[in-house]
Amino acid sequence: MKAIEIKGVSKSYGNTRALDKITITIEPNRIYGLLGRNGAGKTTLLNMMTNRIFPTEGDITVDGETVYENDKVLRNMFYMSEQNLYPEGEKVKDIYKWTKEFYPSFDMEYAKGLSQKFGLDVNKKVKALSTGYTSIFKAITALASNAGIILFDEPVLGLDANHRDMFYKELIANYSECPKTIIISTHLIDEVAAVLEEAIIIKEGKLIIKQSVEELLSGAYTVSGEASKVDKYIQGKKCVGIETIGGFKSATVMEVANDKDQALAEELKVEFTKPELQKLFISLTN
Amino acid sequence: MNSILKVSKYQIHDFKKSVMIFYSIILLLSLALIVLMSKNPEEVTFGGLEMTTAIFIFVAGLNCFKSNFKFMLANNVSRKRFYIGNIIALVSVAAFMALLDTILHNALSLIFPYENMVFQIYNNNSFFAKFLWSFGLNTLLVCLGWFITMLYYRCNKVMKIIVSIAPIPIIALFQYINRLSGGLVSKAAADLLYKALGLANNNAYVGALSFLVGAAVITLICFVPVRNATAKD
Amino acid sequence: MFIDFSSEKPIYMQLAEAIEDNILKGIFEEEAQIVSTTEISVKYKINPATAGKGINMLVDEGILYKKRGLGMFVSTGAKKKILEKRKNSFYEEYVKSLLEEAAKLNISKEDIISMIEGGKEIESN
Repeated sequence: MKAIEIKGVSKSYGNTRALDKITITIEPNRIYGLLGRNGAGKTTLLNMMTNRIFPTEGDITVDGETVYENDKVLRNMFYMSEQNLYPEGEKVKDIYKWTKEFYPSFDMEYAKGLSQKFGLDVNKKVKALSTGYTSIFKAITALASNAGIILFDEPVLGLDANHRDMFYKELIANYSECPKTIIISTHLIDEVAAVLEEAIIIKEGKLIIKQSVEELLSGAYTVSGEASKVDKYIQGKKCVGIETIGGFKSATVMEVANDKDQALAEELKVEFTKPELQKLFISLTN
Repeated sequence: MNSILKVSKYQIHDFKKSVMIFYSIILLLSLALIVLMSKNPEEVTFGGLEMTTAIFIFVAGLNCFKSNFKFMLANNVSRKRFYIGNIIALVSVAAFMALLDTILHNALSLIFPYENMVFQIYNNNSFFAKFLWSFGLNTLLVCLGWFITMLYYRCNKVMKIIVSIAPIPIIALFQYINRLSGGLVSKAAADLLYKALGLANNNAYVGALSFLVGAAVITLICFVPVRNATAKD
Repeated sequence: MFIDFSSEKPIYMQLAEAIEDNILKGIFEEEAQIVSTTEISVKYKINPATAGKGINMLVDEGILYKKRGLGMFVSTGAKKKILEKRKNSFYEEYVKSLLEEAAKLNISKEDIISMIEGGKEIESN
């Protein structure tokens, strides 16, 4: 099947190392979240996966074939980039038409249907669209492309709450009916957490986590209580995100609590809660 | 091949509007001229509309790159495919316009004394010669336009300034060397041009061939900036 | 059906329980079709694989079964199976924590029984 292999990929701009030896295997037909702070290197990675820029080191392959200048592989991938690469003077419906030329499986009916649902006027020229509607138009183009691999870079940029809700629902419906490999790069982690199957977290150009969201959340817990008690509890444990408010302290422990831990917690009168992906993410990438 | 032609199809689509406007203007001009001529039946020869096409297509070449390259990137088209598809489109438009021009000019010369450039320069009035020469000139100029726009696209701010000013010192250098050689360099250059354009023996076909060779060379050079081009705003 | 994203319980488990609840309430009748994975995942904005996991769990327990090309159906005897399963875990899920909390508050077993029988308030000792 069409797995994406990112092998030791680095990208340098002069003396700056935007990405450092990233190695990831992206299994087919799952929804991945590509998460990281601003400037962490997410867009750089997505650009390299789609032949928009080239790695300084390393290679990216799909199903064993390199993506570099490889039309055969590239025509099965669709990338909704943050940059607007669409000709401003063209109408939305004409862009759909041309996209179909390059992506024969593009579903015109579906695109038109989605456009109606979102209130996108397909007769409008690209330059006349607001920020939100530019995102909507690009997102619809991506969803309707029916490519086997779809990458989204900040798909809900500028979208109001209703449209964001609609986007996730359409994405899920699309994926459920026709499984494909989807990678979503976003900041809105809480919104997207339940949609993702796996999380890929990039920090300062390095890969720090690639794990299923479920494992990530079940493999950690937040301990909270009186500051000195929490300190005692977390001694010797791997922790992130330690927060103190007055006499109250909380920390996220990157382990599973065993019976001994439970007992200790009871003794120290500290509480366990499930970690939030957003908080976990902030802690990990700080 | 089919996938390459799709790139050409889009590029040609992008040219369509401006080409149509151009020929509408030309047609209107021609009609105006016909009316004028019929009112003043003095022997006035008129010609050289090929130059207008040549200038138009040069400007078209200057505009053919940025927006289209970005759109092709958006559709995950490789640079190789874009490069070849673009060449096919440019050559097609050059040929199409050369054909239209030749037909138009032949039609006009039936109505009033219109002298085509090829006739003026080479004293050759054959349809094929006129078409080929126009085609060669158009192709050369559109590729030149493409090359210049590509160069500017790939240049950063500093490079752009250098590239823009560069012709001046180059010309100055040429003139200096020329003076040193006592005028031999410019004479040699003029000789070469004379022969290449087929002026030596009134051969329009040699001229056309030179134009096409020049276009081919420029096109080959164009591959260098295309190879590593990225999407810029 | 309601899913609490901040709950300790994994989403797929909550989903399975919600479906079981609906079966017990009679909203999903035996031998009738239940909502599809697509509908569930769209409605709650969860990954279809998660929804699938919850449903597969119920299939493994014999509460649901799949009809090829049609979807998921409630098995005959599902209600009984669920009741039995719940009865077995009743102690773990409800009684144990009740006893623990009562111990914390120094509420005796007799107090608890009175509460259950009369629902009256007990003065703290």
